[in-house]
Amino acid sequence: MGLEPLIQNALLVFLFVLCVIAIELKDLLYSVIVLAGASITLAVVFLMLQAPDIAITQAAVGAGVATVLFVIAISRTRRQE
Amino acid sequence: MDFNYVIAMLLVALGLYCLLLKRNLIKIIIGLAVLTDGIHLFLISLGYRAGGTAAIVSGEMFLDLPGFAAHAVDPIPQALVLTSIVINICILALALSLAIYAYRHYKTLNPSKMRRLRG
Amino acid sequence: MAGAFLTPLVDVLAKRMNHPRARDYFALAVTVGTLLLVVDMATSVLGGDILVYKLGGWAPPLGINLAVDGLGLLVGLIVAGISTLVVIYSFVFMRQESGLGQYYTLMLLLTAGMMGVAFTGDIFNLYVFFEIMAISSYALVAFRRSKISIEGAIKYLIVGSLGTSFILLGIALLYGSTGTLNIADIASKLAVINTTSGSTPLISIIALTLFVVGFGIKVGMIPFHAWLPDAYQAAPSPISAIMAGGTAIVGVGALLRVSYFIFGAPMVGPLLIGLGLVTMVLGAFMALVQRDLKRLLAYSGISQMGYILLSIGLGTALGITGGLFHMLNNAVYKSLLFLAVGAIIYRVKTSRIDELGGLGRKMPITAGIFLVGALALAGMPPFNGFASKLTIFLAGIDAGYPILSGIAAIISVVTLAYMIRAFIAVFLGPQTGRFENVKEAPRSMLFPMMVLAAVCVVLGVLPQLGFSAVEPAQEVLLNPSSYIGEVIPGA
Repeated sequence: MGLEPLIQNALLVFLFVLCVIAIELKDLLYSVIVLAGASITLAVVFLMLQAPDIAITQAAVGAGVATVLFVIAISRTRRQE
Repeated sequence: MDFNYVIAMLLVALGLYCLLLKRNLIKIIIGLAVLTDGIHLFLISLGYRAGGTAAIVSGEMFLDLPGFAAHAVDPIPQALVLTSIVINICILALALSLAIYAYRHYKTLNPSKMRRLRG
Repeated sequence: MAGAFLTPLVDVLAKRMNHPRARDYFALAVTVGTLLLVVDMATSVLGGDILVYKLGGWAPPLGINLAVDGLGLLVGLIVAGISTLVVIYSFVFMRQESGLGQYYTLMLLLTAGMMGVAFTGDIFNLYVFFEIMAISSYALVAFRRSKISIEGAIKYLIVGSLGTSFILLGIALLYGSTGTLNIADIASKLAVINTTSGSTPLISIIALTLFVVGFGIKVGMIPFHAWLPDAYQAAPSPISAIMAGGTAIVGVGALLRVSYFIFGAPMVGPLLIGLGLVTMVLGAFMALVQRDLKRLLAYSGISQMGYILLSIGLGTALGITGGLFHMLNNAVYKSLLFLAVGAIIYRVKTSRIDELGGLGRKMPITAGIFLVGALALAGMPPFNGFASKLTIFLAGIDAGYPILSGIAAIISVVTLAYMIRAFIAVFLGPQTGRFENVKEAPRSMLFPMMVLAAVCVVLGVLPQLGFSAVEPAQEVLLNPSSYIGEVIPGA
């Protein structure tokens, strides 16, 4: 029982909190940014779970591509919920 | 380790809540992303083995093949998650483009205000 | 031979580079080729064989494999036939639209996805093909980019991706408890778990629920049906036809494969009977009050799905035969009706029942074909719906639930009522001035409809043909162990 499980659990809680914030924020742009943060956190968790390739994909797709798509969509529609 | 599953299920529940109760298309799509993230976390945790090594082909692997197989994490869920991530980004892109079209037509993102199809 | 039904997948990629004139014929060639391949496989599968093709040469349960059994063959046959006819129909119907390259690409992708779901022997592969099918159908519903098609597609997309997420979660749970993804392997391992622990573990009950909800959304079972009428109304008519005749059938096929193979009939039966009953009754009554032809057909399609689930849920040989036969018939006449409504929309530009009237004199062939479809749907002799509904009633009595048969019979009468109402309102009655110049539908649209109508009559007069087609599928569902043994030798 080292430090690693503790860090991992802390990251998981952080991930959950980020997702709650992303869903509850009224400003969609901030919400998307928080979601990107959640994606990065999830990628780190994947890395700790010995899935480095998934971690890279998750970081690139979840935090990169998805965020860009969301931002484009928000810029073409409206920002407030 | 159980904590992973708890968080994964909480994420799924959170995504469901957002999907069913939010009244904004972009928020609903965010909920979808959270839901699939939860499922991915669940799958990866399923394949994890305490103290395992990554299941990636390397030179060291062939030195001690049975030992490697005994210590490596299960690669199948990882393959599943990889496929699923790609599929979900497709759905996300399609959903967002539909949301943009919907906004052009209806000037709103509230799905319950789009009621051309009734009766 | 068995590997060649992956051609649609390869050809879809090749298609993107085609020049405009050739693509219609190319799409036709691909679907006809698929149909021929399936018919080719039919001869050996009907003889009782199960074809197993190992992708990449890895033996199951390690590698991904495709396995064609009776059930997969039945679904594949329906899908290939209907998509071929729909492609012919689309030549004229979609001519005035732009972006036809995308249209045919998505259509072939949809067909490829459906074939994949029908034939795969690997549960995750099933999920992937299901997603291929789902994504292309979302895009096809939104194809016109008009107000209603966007709205229909959004509803379909949100509900549908919720459903596929449930399926993925169910797969994850099953993988967690068995450690394999091959359908046959999961089935045999779960059976071992059940016998050793003496009862069914909670986790497989949760997984089953997730699967039923996930596939139920695709099929349009009643608590999860809300997207279906919107999507069917919003989609171009050929797409409504392929969704009613193909996608819904594939959903039923996948549900049956997963639930019967993996969990076994005793666990699934009561659930299917309950859901089927609610779906059948509510669907029919909602159809009664619709004012749009396509919506009416969509609700009646939901109601017919109820019949299928109810009958298969009975779990007896007769019930499963009746349900599968009805599945075949439903695919035929439902796509026939959608194509007929498409012909009306093509000439008159509306599908609202109260705006239509007196079209019978202007479009006699379409009217006749619609009448065949309507009577077959309502279960009137001598059309195919009669044979399969009769089988379902008999199966209900046989299994000791005469009350179910009674309800099913009453719902048939309701079906007859709303279909006749629609027929009278659209084709009979006084002619309105607007429709002075309406002509009969073009020949290439009439041809697929006539083929389907002919199938309706042939299956109605000679139900033996239909029974022999569903027999292998019924045997596979009742006795999955032969399938398991075939896929994994020595299991």
